[in-house]
Amino acid sequence: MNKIENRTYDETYYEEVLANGLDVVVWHKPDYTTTSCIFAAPYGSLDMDQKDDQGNAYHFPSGIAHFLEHKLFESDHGDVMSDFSRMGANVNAFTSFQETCYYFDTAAGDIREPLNLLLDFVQDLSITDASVEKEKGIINQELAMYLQMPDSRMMFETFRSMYRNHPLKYDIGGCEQTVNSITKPLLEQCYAINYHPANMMCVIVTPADPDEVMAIVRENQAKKTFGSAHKVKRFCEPEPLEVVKEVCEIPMDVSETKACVGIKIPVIAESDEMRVSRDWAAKMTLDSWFSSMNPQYQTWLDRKLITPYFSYEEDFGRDYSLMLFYDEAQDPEAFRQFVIEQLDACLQAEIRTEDLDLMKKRAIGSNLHLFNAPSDISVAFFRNRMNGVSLFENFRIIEDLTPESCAALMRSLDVSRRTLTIIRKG
Amino acid sequence: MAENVCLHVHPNDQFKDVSINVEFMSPLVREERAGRLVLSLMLQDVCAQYPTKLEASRAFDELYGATLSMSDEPKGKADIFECSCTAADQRFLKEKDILKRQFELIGSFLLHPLASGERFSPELFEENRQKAVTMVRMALDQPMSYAADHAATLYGGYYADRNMPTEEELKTLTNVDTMKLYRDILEHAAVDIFVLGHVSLKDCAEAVRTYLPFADRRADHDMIYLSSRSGFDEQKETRPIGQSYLVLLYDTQRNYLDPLEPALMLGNGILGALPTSFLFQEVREKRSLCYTIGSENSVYEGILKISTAMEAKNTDLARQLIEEQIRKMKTGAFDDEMLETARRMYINSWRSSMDHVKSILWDDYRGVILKDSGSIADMIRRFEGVKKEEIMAAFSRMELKTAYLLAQEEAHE
Repeated sequence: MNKIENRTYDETYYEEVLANGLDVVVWHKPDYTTTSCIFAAPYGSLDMDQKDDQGNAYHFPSGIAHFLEHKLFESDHGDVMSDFSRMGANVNAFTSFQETCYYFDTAAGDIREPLNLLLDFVQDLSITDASVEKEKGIINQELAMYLQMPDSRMMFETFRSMYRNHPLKYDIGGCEQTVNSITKPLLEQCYAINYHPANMMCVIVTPADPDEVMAIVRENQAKKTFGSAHKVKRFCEPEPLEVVKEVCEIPMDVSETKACVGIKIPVIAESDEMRVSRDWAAKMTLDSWFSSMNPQYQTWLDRKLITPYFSYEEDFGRDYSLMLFYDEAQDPEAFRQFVIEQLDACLQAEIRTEDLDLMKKRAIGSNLHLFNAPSDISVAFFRNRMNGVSLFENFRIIEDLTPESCAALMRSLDVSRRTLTIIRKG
Repeated sequence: MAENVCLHVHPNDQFKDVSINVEFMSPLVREERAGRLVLSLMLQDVCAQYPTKLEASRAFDELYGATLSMSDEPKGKADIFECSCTAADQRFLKEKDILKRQFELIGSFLLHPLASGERFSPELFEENRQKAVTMVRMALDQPMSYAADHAATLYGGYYADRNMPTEEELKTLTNVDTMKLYRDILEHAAVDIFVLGHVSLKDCAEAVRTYLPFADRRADHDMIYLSSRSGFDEQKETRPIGQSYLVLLYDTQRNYLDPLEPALMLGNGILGALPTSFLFQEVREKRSLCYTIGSENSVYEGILKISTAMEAKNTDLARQLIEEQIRKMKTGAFDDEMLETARRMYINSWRSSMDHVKSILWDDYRGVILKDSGSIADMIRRFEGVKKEEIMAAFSRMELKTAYLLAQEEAHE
């Protein structure tokens, strides 16, 4: 078990890769009462098509990662949620584009029982044809609920307009048709490929003795046998540079018109560290230009080019790169024009040193804040590790950014392919 | 610090930042809801010392990304205006005057707004009034929020007064009235200042005297009350949406101060607040009627809310099932295991709240408002003693008062 200390933030964690390949992290928070634990697979909604190291290809319907998340809560003797509740522990899970995370938190002193249960239920898929059929009704109601939320619908439609082949075009939960096509054998195959311990990570943030906690995980895993790990990777059909639809308008029962400009950026093949640096450079560059840090920001509000609800984000994944700008825009076309003009200007400019220093100060405060919440630590640690750059390396990347390096990383971006999504009363 | 102005310092080395809340408690008045919303947006935006968003943003970033928020939230029959500021703990920084600067920042934004005479800056007022209008529209565009809002209106009383302001109320709001409201809050509301983090009472008291010099005031407001609505009302509305939303409101006839409240809380866990609950199991898991269903116990009002979303064709069945589960609570048709599960969950949840800044600060404030010291430990002891008969007794007077259904239009076609 390796001990890793960070003196700047006064945080300590321990890490061990077990014999079966499971990566276990015990983050010690002696002043806390709560233990928060995640057991996670880097398997999300985007991983519909996969190839293993033998050259075998696998195709799954959209929404299968989310469906699997629902079904893992079922065990031979009933419902796992009830078992956690009997221990006084809160359990839940979420599926995103990139990952599926199962987690619990508890303030009970002894964590042996819930920790063993988390490891056991995620490593045991017990489903029947009937239970798979029953789940479809619940999931379809969940999807209907999200489709009724204007912001969530706008994001979904934006991705559909941007991508022809990339699985970003599908909702995380899939759609009624794909959900209804999912079967027990498909779920079992998907599970076998993606839930091997060597592909997963367990992060436990706890006040308990790290040696004892690691021993619980070791003992639990030693009792189980697993076949050899599938080394699988997501496979995507080549994505054309062009967007699918330049404009998409969706009528909904809303009072405010919403608009989102999606920028589809060609993927640059580069190391994870360089990609994460580029992502941070983009975030800092956008923050310096499109937020109240820009002296023009108030003018934009006064001239109603944007509203106070204007926002933006960037995401540089391994197989996609994008920026999104959204607002409650009464004139979506004018909003698109505003984004295009300002983004072009933004990418030509260089962040002022004093602004970058302020954003670095902000990042220090934000990092400190992260360490207050055990559940935030566990998720952030897992996500950063899967993204190829550790949590603390991320902090170092931010510290190393300069106005020149940000500008260099931004100027190479091609932001000429755009979509406009409009949610309008109809 | 002055009459009805109190400083409460909660030294704590657990967290890596320092949180300061300034709470103003006044009686809940419906006519003030619009002004309070706009006020909260304006005061956190800019101030006399930092008159532009650019300057305000820099001031926060200089304090390592400190956050400052103003909010207004009715609880029971009180309206609580809150200024909340969190900044990095100076133990982890080279600069050592962060706490003083944090208080200074709060003082600047809270006590020295961008205003002249009897008015806030007209541009600031208009911008934030429009922002509030959009905020209300956006919230009501969410069908579940719309249904909850309309269910509360149907219920009436203080419970309806808690709703967000209407567009009409916001549009008729004047700058001068908002300034009067601001001064009224500053001069007459009971003030409680809470500081949580690695701090000393001496440093905090000195900073409060310098940057938050509130004068004496007479204030004796109650927060908690017991709602008791007469009769039953039902309302159905149709809209072109993808699901139907059902909200049921019950009078529990018990609030936080009732000796049976811990039993009611655990009973609520058995009924609909936990994944093991009757509602979750019977409506969602066994029959797949919905994805979301739950019950929520408003402890400062004595109202229990059940809400769910599903296909229109299933709402009648869901309602029957909900009534059936309420009957089980009244007649004690639940087993000891369900009670023990709820007991463990609630005890752990309250224990866990000691690791959350917001929960600690609210627990401290609730103790002050209800004159109830050590409330987390006390409540855990009370949960430990709850018996099945007490849960039945806690539910015995529960009565459905309003039922609101926001239905899909398709149901009528």
